[in-house]
Amino acid sequence: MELTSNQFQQSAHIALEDIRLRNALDRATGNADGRRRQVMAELPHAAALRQQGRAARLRALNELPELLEQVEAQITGRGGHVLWAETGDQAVQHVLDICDQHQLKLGVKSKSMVTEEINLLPALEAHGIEMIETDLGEYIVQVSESHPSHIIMPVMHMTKEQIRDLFMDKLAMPHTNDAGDMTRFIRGHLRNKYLEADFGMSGGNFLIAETGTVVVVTNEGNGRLSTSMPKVHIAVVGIEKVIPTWEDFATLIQLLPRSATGQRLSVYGNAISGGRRPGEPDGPDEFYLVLVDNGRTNIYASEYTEALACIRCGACLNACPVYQNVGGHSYGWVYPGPIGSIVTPLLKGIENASPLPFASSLCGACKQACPVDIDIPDMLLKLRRDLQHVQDPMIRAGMKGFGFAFSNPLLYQVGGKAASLVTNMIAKNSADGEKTIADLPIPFIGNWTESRDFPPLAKESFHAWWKKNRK
Amino acid sequence: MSSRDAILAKLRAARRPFEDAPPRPSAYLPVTVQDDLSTDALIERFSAELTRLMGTTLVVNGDDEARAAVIDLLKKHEAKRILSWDFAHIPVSGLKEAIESAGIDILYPEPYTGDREAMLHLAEGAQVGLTGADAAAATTGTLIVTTAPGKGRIPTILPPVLISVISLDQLLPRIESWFARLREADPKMSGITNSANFCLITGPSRTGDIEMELILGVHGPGTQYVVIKKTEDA
Repeated sequence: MELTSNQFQQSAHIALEDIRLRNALDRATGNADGRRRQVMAELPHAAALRQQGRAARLRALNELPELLEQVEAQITGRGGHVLWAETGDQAVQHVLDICDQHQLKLGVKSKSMVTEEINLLPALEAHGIEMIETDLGEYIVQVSESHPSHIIMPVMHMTKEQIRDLFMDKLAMPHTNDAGDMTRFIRGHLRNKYLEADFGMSGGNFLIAETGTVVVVTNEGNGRLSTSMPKVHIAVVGIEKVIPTWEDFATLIQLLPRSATGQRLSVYGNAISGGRRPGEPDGPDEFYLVLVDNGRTNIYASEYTEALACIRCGACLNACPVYQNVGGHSYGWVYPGPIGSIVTPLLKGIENASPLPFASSLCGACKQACPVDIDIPDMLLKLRRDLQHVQDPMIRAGMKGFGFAFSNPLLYQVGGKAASLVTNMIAKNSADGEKTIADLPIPFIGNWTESRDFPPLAKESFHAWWKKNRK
Repeated sequence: MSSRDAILAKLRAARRPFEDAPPRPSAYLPVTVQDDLSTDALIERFSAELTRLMGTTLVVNGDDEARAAVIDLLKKHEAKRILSWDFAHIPVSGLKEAIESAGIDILYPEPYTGDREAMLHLAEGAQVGLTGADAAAATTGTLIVTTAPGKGRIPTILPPVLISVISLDQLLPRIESWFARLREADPKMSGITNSANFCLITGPSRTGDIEMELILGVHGPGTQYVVIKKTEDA
């Protein structure tokens, strides 16, 4: 997916003018956030459970290299394959190689953010491999040749009428205004694809290290169908998805849907530990896990490691007053909303997503909604700081000089005296009779007086006053 | 250096990010609450949860009632062909014979034997999937199914209707209880690694992708029944 995060302001302005989009966003984010609050409120130990989930994620990140090795040993020990990819391109190449080796031409795919991230589908298509998105929302995205606007609800930006028109236009669906009819039409439309597919592809919500198991969570059942019918299953998963144990899983698998859609559990928690075992009647014979780094090790080694604790529930999107109004596409990449405003600059370079850390009022709703209590506002602030360092070498040099002058008593006193003299000289009487400077004639800092006046410095410094009045 | 080694080396070169993370608790806090653990209370809770998800629970006494309940459901859905687990894994005696004598075809989907394509298309035409389960969790209305010889995935996910029969001893309070049971049986969790797959199934297939309107039966079964069999004298 093309990165357009630097056009956030322009995209957001267009989104804000789109009444249909605003209505769709209002309904979807409002519903999802309301339901999340409801089901979290019914937990007697909600706060403690959140910390239990958080601790599971932090322990996992602390032991990340060991856990990844454990996953690999478990899976390969049972005849599965584990492939590692430092970059998105490497991951794509792994998938192409697998397709080549097994002569795979048609794949059915369940929803995955990381495959969006690494641009997998266009690459497969270029190699003549057809890949069908089977999640209803993702299929709508695929047919409309656009991109998802939400981590959990890919087409929350579209109305039923838009979807109907799309299906009628592209798939010759008979006219209907009923979402159930549309859904059943797609069920029928995709049915044969499952039967004919050479391979199934999935992401992974969790990788459980102790047994080397990928868990794919869906409500529609497409994840289970995609990974049950074909002979080959390829799971593409980010390296940060590992957790140590099934007890950790039992907590997180329940926090995820409560935060995402307000469900107590998602319908299908499909856990795959490898290829078909001797005597088992169905399921893929071959199982491949592609572990994707693609910038995650950089985040791991930075002060933003906590961003990797995210379980991609989308709760921070629904809770965010900025997201609620501008929608996912404004953010200009795969991961929108508050967590996207951290992950996008970190994965794609802060200079390529510089508006995103500012796409927040720092109200803290995102942190409050997060099921693993990620301190998103704090990281947004730190990114703003980083951005200053990257963007404005002059300001950096200026602040350095400022720091030097202020930590040197002689320079401070001489400088203060000079500033007092000069500011009093150039200050003019304003309308209310006070002396002010309406336009500071200093490069960069002068911008400050564009919308406010600068007062002249006191004629007598505090040092001088203190010397005189100290008794 | 291979990608694998490069990734691991980079992770190892970084300082440990969360040395102060709380240690693994000796006892995890369960997410859901169920104080009354009597069988009646568990049945009631399971049934309430599944009903809320638009699934249906049937509680029967003994094999005869269980058989009759399954046959009734098959007739209600005008089943001519069903996809089934091996009946050794469905806790109702004489069920296979009863289904056969009702004139319903039983297909055991085995796509690796014979003509795969023909078999899958035949399976796609089946009206009902019939299975047992490894366990069920009351507080979430969840069925837990693992794969094994005679216990495939296709009957649980391909047909529009899913009927699963469980015996009362398979009904646990929570999903945590199932993991605890596996941990107790083997600290290395061979209960999981012995199968290629297990699945937590919580209600019928659903979507809200179109304007968040709830629609059942997108790809998986839109209609789900769980038959809980009590013993005759219970």
